[in-house]
Amino acid sequence: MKMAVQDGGGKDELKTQFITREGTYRLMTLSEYSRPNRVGYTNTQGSAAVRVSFVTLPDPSGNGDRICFNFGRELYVYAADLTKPVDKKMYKGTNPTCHDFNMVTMTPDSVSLVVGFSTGQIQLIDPIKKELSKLYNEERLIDKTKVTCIRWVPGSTNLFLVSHSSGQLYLYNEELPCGTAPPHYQPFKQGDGYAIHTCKTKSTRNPLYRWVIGSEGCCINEFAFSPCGAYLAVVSQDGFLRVFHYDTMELLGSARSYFGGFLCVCWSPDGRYVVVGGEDDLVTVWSFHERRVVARGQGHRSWVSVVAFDPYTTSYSEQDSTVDFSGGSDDETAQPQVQQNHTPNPIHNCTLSSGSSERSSVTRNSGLGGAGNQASNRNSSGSDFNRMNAATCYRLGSVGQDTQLCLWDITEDVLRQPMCSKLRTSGVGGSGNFGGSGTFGVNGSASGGTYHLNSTSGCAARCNNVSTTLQTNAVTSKDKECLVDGNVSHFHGVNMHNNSSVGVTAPSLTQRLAGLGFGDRKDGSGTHKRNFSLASRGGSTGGDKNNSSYRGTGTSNRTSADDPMRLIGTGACPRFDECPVLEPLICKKIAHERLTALVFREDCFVTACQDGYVYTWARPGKMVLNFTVVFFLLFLNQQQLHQQ
Amino acid sequence: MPAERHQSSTKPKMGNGETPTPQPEPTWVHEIFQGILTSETRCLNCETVSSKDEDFFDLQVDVDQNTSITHCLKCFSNTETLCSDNKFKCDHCSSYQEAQKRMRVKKLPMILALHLKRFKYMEQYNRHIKVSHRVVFPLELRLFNTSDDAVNPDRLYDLVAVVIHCGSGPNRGHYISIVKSHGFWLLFDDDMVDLQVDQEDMADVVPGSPISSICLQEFYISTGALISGLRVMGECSSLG
Ligand SMILES: [Zn+2]
Repeated sequence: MKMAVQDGGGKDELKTQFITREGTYRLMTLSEYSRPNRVGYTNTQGSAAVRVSFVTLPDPSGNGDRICFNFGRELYVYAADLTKPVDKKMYKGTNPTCHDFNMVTMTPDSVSLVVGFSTGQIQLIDPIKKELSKLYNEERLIDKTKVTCIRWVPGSTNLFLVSHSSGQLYLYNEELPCGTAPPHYQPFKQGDGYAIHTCKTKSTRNPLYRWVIGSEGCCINEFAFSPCGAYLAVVSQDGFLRVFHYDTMELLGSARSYFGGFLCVCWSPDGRYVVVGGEDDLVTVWSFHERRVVARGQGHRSWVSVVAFDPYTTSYSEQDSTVDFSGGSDDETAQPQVQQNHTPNPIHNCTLSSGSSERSSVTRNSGLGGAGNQASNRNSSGSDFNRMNAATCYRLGSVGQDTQLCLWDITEDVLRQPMCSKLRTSGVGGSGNFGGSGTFGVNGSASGGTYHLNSTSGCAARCNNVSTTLQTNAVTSKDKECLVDGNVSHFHGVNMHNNSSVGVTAPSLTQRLAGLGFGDRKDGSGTHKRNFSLASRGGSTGGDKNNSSYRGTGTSNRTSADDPMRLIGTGACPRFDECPVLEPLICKKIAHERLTALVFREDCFVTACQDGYVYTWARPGKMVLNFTVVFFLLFLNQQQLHQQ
Repeated sequence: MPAERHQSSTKPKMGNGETPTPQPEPTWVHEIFQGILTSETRCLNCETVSSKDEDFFDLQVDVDQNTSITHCLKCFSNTETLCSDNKFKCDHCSSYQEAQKRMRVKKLPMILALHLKRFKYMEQYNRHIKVSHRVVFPLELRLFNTSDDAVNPDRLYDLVAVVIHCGSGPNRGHYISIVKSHGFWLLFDDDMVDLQVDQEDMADVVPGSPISSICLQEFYISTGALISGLRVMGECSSLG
């Protein structure tokens, strides 16, 4: 390891592989999708974020994988042959921003792809058959602002939902026209912080519904349907997560960021948790059952742009085991997949047929049976991944503008801790406690690069760490600059002091790291809560921090319900020391540019970044499996194949 | 919003063992901008922790590529180890010892001024270079680096103004500022004042995303930088 003089070195090194408890993930070489030329497109900085959509067509030969991504003004769809795209489109005066495949209507040789654009229009194409092309909001009469997210309604053949940066969400039916004049709306339903309208026209036309969410003009950054398809989670620039029952259009719960906008959202594969990321650099876990924020993850060095669960690494309880939730006593595990009840309130049953109103047939409009396969594209694109029994340890991934990938292991025991006014343990000392800054442990150790935190045979890890520590000891004041990202220095500093003789007798690295989060480790739960530490702030104040002197009037268009000063300290936005702070399992810099996409697949995960690179990371040991090899051909280019 | 005033009113971050300067009569500037940093030092020999408070009128933070202001502020409060020729004089040990030190915010000011240190001395060039790292900042902010005894650690700040340095180096260039007034963002460029009509554009400009505003576009692209100079955040209750 070299000591860096300026930035770079150590943790800023670009990683091409990393190790977690399940093994080594490797960046597939030459996995950069063949991108023809960039002629006519120079300003990559100003382009829309590169997003990635996958679909697996029901192709009997097993070659059904298709990938779609946007870059600049271009949209690509590839199949197994990466030398040329299945479809490529280039647009003038607008950028594609997001896209989604319809998994209900797809056949081996046709699939419907909806694409949203930076100027508000929406296009429906079939990248395989190529004869289909329809435009919606073509004259921008419905909405002029950027499309921020687009999704087919789960289980529907023809309905899709579109969010715009204007703060509106529209439901379209692909079979209906859009009208030649700006639509006139009439109120349909209203609730706390949102309103829903329908078109006034006699003949049915697009949009079928308009949802206005949050304060006026407040950008909706993303939305996601729950795996069962019944619920809709929406995050916006006003810092709110709002979770609706989609068919009844009821607001079921909300959360507020610690500060700044929420940028991304996803559901756990079992539908129990919603995870959001945002401008507070945090990953926030919200419990659907308890309707409150249950944990926050600290590890990113900038805004979190994508969160996604890895359903393949999430561990599940046995089918018949009883899961006890502090928030409710519903026994979901006993119920069959889609039929399970999501909340203590039976009204919010997860079945798609539950919203039996007439409107439901309008919003959902198609076969109800296929819900199990309609799991959100991002969360569980694996077709065989339908089991909905409760997870015991969730694997979450997140990428951000810091060019880093974080993986998180979130265990049920952490999530089920009740909210307490002050999450303090006796182990945390007074002001002399230097060990309590939450995330430094993992960040610091990440500089080692090739060891993993949960190693039970952690010898290599320790050795690696010792050498780093020794080098750091030699750092003089002149070198301080190289430790600008002081997590490293913090870590080593504490390490140096508390564990001056790191040897065979020392507890595992994991335990030490966990212990540091508590100052002096006094309880034996270090291993148990390895990615969990408590914030170290505000020990003495038992009083009311929410004092009136700073509640104030707030800014212009905040309603009282939205006032962040009222929400702090509540389940929607706990104080920082009121809820568990998670540390990432790993935190790696994997790109040169801001990361904009993360999709977990059975054999790999795929990331994309702002400058147009799409990377595939092979899962540990997966290349030897038959099925996997086939899949990986997809990501190798022809030359490499010949070499093998 | 003259930048010079704030820049000259700061104290060095690394002050070590110096006595506080005599307090001048508090003025409105103190009321609005003054906060307190507490510097905690732990002697690695005797474990004694000593802390010392000092006033600040802005926080000067180092910038790092592809980070957020939140991260820069966290780094500001990272623990540093004092060793070699920078040892700490421990009163308890009556000698110079290795020590750990960190600075955290004890009193949060009403208006928080953050100064991104974009002019960095580069030894190989023997001069200051403008650092154009991309540092994003949200429209509201809470501090993660407050001390255990901070009175109001959850205080929420709203972004009210940004000062931008246009130009390639420290010795030339031009300052402009964007200020929020009555819910609108106004751009001040010498005697020219422009209304940033489109809130969405403004949101794009301020966090340093793709730029739609013409008057700033050239600057952002030419420098590759997003913000520089001084930034002022005000508590939302003080905005009205
Ligand atoms: Zn001492």
